Amino acid sequence: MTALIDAMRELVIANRILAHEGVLDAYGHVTVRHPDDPKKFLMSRSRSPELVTLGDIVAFTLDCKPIDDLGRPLYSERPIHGAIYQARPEVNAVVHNHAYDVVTFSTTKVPLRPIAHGAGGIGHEVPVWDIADTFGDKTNLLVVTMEQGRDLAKKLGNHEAVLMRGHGCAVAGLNIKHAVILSYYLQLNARLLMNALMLAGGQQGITYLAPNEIETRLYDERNPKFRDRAWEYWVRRAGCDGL
Amino acid sequence: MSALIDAMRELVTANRILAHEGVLDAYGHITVRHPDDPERFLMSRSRSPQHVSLADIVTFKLDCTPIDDLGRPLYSERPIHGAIYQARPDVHSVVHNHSYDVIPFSVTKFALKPLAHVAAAIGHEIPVWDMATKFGDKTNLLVRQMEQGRDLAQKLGSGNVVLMRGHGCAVAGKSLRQAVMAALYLQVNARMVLSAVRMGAGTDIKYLSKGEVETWMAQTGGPNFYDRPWEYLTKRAGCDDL
Repeated sequence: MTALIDAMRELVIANRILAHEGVLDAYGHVTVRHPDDPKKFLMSRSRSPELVTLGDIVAFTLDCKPIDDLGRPLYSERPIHGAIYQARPEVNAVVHNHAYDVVTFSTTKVPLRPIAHGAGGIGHEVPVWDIADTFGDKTNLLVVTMEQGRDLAKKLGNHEAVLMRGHGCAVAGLNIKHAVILSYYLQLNARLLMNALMLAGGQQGITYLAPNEIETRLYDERNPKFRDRAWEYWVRRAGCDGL
Repeated sequence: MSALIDAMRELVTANRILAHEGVLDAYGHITVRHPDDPERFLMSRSRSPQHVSLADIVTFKLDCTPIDDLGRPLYSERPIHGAIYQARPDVHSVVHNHSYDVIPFSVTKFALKPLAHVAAAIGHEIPVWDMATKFGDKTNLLVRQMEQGRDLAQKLGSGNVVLMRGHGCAVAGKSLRQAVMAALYLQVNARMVLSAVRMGAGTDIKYLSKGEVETWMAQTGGPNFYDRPWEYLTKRAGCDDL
């Protein structure tokens, strides 16, 4: 039970950090796998992340059926999360966001590759998933069926993140801090890369991180202590240090 | 002793100013040479700059060995600072940051040069240091060894700023206030250049001339000219009663 309360509290903090840092706005969501049951995950009821409190957290089965929703409205895009947890047993936290600097990359052929050491954890490649490829052009782009979620999870593959065309992205972490950090640095790298592309006049003039430099960073990011300094900082900025 | 306390207090204020102005985020650090012993410098223990307080300040030798760390975790990139103090007796303060507006310049060939008078302290030419040139591509880009720090200090040369590819920058000042102001206006200037390019200027931007930079530094940009901005920045950062 203690593990559950701790996980719920970290989930609330993660919601507020990502909202405070502008990764999530009125929309988007964070989830974490249930600490006592890998066949369940925790997610807020339908609410803007900045406003999420402990009382909003609901448990879901991996096919996204609520267990204790008490009839409250739920996010419709739960399948983004459930399908990734089904496909990736090592993933324990998922973020879905519409970060403004990231959305732009989802609509172009310019790859979102890391240029700054802090962003090396987003990996060598961030694939782009287009819902229209499998589901046609009569969707509203929302991932609301498990079939759509599984198609997205397949494009994610073993990567850290996948862009969703004209929509945003999904980020998969080993734990909730990892997912928050990757989401933050995916957005930051998008912003830095836009400016670098402008200065260089195109991709050919940019020194991206080398494959070995990315590998080193991917390794560092798996160390759960690696980002303690940033976590303390973000918790306080989001006003969550008394939570 | 009173000089030491004053230096520590000013170092705490500098940490918070640079965090408040967005030059430092969760990461980065600022140091100052020990006022009573030029063979030492002062730096916080490993902590985000916004949170640094007087009790966090640790003394280091110039080879970056801590003297009074009490076993607390330390920043791993101390060699950025120690190596610059070793190479440059005229330098009394060093800032290392990952300013978001500065990093893009470090990964392109587009030179970052001062276009506004208040940014003259960044220098007429800013070199870019690529760690991979000497240490290969198997690093995590962090400067954690004195050998790496010395290579960076060599690229800095006699200037005030060196960019670090894919990472950030190091800024050196003859005083703590000069280093803070140079780091702040390096970021402001980077933003202005980005805007000029966004406006379609390409590389056709009128930068300060070498003579203008030198004149500014001789007349206005010296180590002790910063009372007005310091009072303002201190108050903005909520440090006026520190």
